[in-house]
Amino acid sequence: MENLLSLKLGQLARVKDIRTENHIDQRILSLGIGKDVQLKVCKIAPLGDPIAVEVDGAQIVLRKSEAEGILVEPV
Amino acid sequence: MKTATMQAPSRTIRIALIGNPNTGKSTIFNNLTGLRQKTGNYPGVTVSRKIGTMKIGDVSAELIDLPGAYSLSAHSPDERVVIDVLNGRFKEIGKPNYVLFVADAANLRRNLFLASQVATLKIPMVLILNQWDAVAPSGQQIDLNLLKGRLNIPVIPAIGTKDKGSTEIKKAVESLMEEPKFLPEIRWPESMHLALDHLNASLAIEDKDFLSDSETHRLLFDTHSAEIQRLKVSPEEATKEVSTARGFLRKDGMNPLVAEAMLHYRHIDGLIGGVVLKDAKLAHGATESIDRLLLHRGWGLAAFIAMMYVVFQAVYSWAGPVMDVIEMGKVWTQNMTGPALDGTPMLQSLILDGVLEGVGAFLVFLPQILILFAFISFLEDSGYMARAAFIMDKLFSWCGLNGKSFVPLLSSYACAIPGIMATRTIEDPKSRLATIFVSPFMSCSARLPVYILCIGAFIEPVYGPWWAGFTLFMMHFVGLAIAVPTAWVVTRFILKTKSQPFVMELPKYRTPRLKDVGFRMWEAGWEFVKKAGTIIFFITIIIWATLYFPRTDDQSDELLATFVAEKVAQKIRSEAEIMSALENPDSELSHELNLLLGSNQINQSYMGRLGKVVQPIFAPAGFDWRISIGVLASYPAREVIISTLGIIYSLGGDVDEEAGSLRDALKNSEWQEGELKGMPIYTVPVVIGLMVFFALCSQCGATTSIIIKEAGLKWAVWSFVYMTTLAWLGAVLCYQIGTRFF
Ligand SMILES: Nc1nc2c(ncn2[C@@H]2O[C@H](COP(=O)(O)OP(=O)(O)OP(=O)(O)O)[C@@H](O)[C@H]2O)c(=O)[nH]1
Ligand SMILES: [Mg+2]
Repeated sequence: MENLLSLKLGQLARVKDIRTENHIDQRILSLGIGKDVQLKVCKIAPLGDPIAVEVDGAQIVLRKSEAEGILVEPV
Repeated sequence: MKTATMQAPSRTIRIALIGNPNTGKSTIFNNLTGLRQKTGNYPGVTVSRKIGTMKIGDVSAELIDLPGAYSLSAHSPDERVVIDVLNGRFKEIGKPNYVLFVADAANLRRNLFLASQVATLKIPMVLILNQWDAVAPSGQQIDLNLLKGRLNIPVIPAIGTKDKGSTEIKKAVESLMEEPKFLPEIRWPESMHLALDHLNASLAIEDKDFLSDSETHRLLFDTHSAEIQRLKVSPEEATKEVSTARGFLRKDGMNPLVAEAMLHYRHIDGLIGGVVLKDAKLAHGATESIDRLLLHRGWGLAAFIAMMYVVFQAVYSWAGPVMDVIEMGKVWTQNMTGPALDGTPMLQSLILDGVLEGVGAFLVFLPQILILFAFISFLEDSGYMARAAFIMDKLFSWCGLNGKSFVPLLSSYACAIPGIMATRTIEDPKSRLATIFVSPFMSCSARLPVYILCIGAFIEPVYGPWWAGFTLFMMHFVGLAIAVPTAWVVTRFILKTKSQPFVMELPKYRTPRLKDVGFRMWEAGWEFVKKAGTIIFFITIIIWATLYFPRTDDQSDELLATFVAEKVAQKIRSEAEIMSALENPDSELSHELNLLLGSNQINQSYMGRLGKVVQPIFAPAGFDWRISIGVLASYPAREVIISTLGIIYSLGGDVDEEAGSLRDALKNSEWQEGELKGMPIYTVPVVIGLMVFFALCSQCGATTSIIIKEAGLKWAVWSFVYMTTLAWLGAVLCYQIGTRFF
């Protein structure tokens, strides 16, 4: 399965699974990034890391190392 | 009806403001209470609780402003405050009777997750849909009536920044007082009931016999729940029971770690289905266009540096005229009060040379403070601060800190105290400690007067305004340049933190409200003026007294005689001519004599003697005894050096009353003895060294005490020793290397 990092900037995708460290899981979930949620990568920091994803109109900043654990399927 | 009005006057109710970060809780708090809690457009402005009072009908209510949280499973100290307040764990506050839940209307689903969690506490709730004005521009429509019908609690659209909705909020609380209302409850699956029952049967919290629902939820769902420490049984035993309980969920096909979010979101989706209509085409507003430039791969970084540069250039160059006015005011006051005190020379000296000179020299820098805070407030309220954290995270992660350290560090550029408080948003205790440790290195506004004085006197006249601005920019960079490797060492070798996750929400850009910017400036300006009236004033008098005593008046006849004899020996004028020139207080000779008498006085004063004792410590940095005294006097608060130097030069007769400026006194200051006799004291390497010293030194009693409070005595001592040592080394290096090249 693809992870968030394999998406192109602005490409819409649906979350299939989250496999990061446990307590980050909870953090990401409470921010609204959960299974079956649609999101897209909307920004990349000028230095290449971190990135920002758009969920439900909100933009959430994540490091690439965390984004790797978010498995998605392009829609 | 009747009973309600009868019991109302004697009642006090407690209301908590709860919600995600940056939704406008503090703005609404200010509207309702008339207080001025700090607000700003980034998540994590409020980091501790704050209580205000308001009237609802004739009931008086305590309103509690709290930090923002995304979930009740607290990850950072500021979030823990929310849970502790909700559970009534602070003795002085007690459990709130009502919750005002402040949601960002444009992001309803996510915001309701926390609301749904809070609902398990069974506290009557009002839902405030704040930032109602931002809903339409985000391409959404909310069917209010449908929502009200579904949620069963009062739902109030509000615009905090325009004070819209306050009356309705009060009315809603009033209606809850008559009839409490709650969010519709989640229908938990059977396995969840089994799990909860198991925990309730096997565990109990320390001082009670039972667990509340929300406590059971935290135990069941959180990986590192703080609740486990509060139980009657040992943590090991509790963990065993918790995993048995989780077994029920697993058997039901749920992953306990994600089950909570899944169940709540399912519940919310049921409640708000069809309430929010989205028009995706509209969703891209101004924020995206601005970010395309400010977060651009190439331009983004350049824009960041340029912006910082403009700030410091402006702070340096815009203030000039206002400074002149303040300086003129000081001279005018001296001229007005001077003659009136002619009869009492000691009081005259205390007022003119001590208080007016010392406090005046300090107050001159008020305009710079105001300009700096105008910019800081603008950056915070526009939403750029969070972008700065986004841009800088890579750099910070390299040294073991993260983007969340950025906001505390940037706040520390104004003042390290709020900066250190702001570290409460950092989840990991070790990252937090490391951030606290490096915060005082950020160049706070109290250092500004020292830089401006040095640059204005020695850099600008020689190298021009461009270099002056550049030097100021660089001085603000020195601390950061030291902080990064320091943090690296601290996180790598001392605390051994593992790299921390960084999750943060990017707010939308907003046009800052003039009122907020104005208030920030007023507040900072007032703090500054208050300082002038308290600590600066106090130390000023001490410094004056130690320079004024013991008196050397009995030596003046002798000095006069030598002075005249020397002049006669030069054979330019006759003795009679010299004596008559000395009759005139404005003659050149009188000035020269006054200078001689003045410097004799301060050389033999208590402070002068002390200065010569400590001067050898600072000799390798090229500091004379006056600078050394200034440095020592500034340990309680670094700004003190300005007033100290002001008094030293004024009592020494060096400050020309007409020009009245400390700047000129410094320029004319020369070594009076030793191998450098007759050479200027303040050379470029000395001045740079002095600025570097102030950039790195731990000279702030208030910062040290906040470090003790937030991190403990050990860290405070370390910070003091480390910073002082670095400062001395820095100044010595500048001088030693500098003198080889200049
Ligand atoms: N457009 C708009 N902006 C608002 C509204 N209410 C507040 N703001 C702005 O939103 C930002 C956040 O406001 P705060 O009151 O600091 O939010 P908070 O919830 O206390 O934030 P934290 O303390 O960080 O959790 C500020 O820039 C406010 O000016 C509103 O109704 N509409
Ligand atoms: Mg707040």
